[in-house]
Amino acid sequence: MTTLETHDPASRPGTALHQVRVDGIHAGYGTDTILNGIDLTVPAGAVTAIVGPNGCGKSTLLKTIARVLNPTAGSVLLDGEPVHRLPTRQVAKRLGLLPQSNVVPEQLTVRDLVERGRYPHRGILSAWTDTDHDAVAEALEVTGTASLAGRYVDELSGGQRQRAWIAMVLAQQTPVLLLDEPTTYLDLAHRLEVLRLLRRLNRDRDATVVMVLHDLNEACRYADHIITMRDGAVHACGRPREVVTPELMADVFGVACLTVDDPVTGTPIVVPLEE
Amino acid sequence: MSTTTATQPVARRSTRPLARLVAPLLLAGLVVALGIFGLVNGTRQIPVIDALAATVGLADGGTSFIVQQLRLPRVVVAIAAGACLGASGMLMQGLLRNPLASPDIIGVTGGASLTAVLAIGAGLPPLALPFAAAFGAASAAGVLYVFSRWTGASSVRLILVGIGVHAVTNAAVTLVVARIDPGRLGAAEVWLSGSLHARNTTHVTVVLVGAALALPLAYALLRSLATLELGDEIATGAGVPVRRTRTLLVVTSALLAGVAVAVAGPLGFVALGAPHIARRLVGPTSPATLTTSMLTGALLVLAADALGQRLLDDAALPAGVITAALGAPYLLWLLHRTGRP
Repeated sequence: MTTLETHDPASRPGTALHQVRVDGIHAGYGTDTILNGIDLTVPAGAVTAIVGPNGCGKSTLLKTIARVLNPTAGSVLLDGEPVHRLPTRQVAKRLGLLPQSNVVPEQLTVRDLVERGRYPHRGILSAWTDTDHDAVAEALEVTGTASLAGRYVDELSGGQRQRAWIAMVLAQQTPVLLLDEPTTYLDLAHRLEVLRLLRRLNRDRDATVVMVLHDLNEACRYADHIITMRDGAVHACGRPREVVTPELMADVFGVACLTVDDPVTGTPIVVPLEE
Repeated sequence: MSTTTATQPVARRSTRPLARLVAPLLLAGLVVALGIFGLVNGTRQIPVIDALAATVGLADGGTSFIVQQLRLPRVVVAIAAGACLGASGMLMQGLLRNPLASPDIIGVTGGASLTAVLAIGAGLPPLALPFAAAFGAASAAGVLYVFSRWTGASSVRLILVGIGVHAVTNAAVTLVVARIDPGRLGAAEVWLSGSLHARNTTHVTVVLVGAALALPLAYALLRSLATLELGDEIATGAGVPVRRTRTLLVVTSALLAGVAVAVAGPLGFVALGAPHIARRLVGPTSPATLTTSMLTGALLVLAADALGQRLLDDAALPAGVITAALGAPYLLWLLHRTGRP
């Protein structure tokens, strides 16, 4: 059985890591303000999970970082530059996003889908290059979807489909990946498959991964860093062991819990108490 | 989203690379053949060689006149208008992520119809008609454009505004037709039925200039459209300037539809059906699909016109009547096909 040592990319010299910093952002929809002044630094080269109760602003935060949503105040800095003011194509070469709900056109094959991920790297009329070809082949390979390349996306199972979407985002070849609940609607085997894939991308390629997750135990097990949110603000952040405690569960979720050690990885497992 | 793996249907794989090559070539061949058929046949049959020679003025005066002044404009207008409608519908359906969207539904055709019947009612010469219709289409597109700048053009809102524009223009057309000088009623009704009768070089110039302006834009927008179809959020993440792309797509699609309606009247179903058929033949948004959609549109209009001239012994039916009549059985077939699991 493999043991999970904490990933420390800083120990590997020479890799260019990209910094994402959130600087005092306020954001929301229309007149509804959801985020009330968030400051945080995403640890470069690590897997970060954003957790919190429904409606706490997790997805809003991810969307604002990914410039799907404009903040009403504050800024998101990618290597020191504000993402909302940079040319969007330039940002897309460094920052990839897998949103929660996407549309699958009829008769779209997995290969078609993954090829669309090359968008930021191609001009309006430029031909398909070897680099594009290799990037798509690699994305298919890494996600285990190469054998599905000719299949229609709308006929795949949930797990296969999610891997195809991840492959599309990987074809974009960004050092930073943002994913909004990548495991929702998947069964246990498929959830593990997706989480292990993301961790592998992080370990093998130093990808900085930020994901919104619902399941705290999964977050503890697969993330190096956890950010908990409550009422549109960051409540705590740090390593799972430091952050996920009975006190935090009471504070953030209002649930009385114990934590025990995961017998496999030693990370915390949350066990709710009966009233 | 389904997460079942056990009861999966037999996996279908696309046989697309071959189709992408064969379908456009086959359709282009059919368009050329039907175009030549249109040059050859009429009240007076002209041998194929003579008809082709006449297009470049290498036949006797009478034959050259018939081909160059009467038949060639009609064939060229049919092909170009059909192609513009095919392209317009494909952009619109992709932009709105709705396979039932088309310029007829979001009011562009209605705008063109309104100004055209107004021009007829005011007694303007036939020469002014394509320009009047183009103005109407552009105005309707303008309303959609302003709206899309204003709200970011979410699909549902754009469809709602378009349906509103469509309803208002339709009501206005009915009003104009009801109050029109009885002597001009015939001309208005012929135009509204989508007729290719008596097309001339003005029509040819209008449609070719319009197509030359709008079609390159359509091709240039394809790559962004293909990504935009996957959802606004994922398109933003992939670096598509979503607002700008949507606005350009609305304008280009409206321009293409406007040009077609200006020279051929409101030809129903073509903008809706051609992209459907193209996607079935060669798959989702790609340059091959756009080309196929344009060729399918051209073929539909050419065939409808040829059929309309021959279906009844005593009268010619306008092409628009035939294309609109095709819509119902096609939609029923679609319903039947999608009704099954």
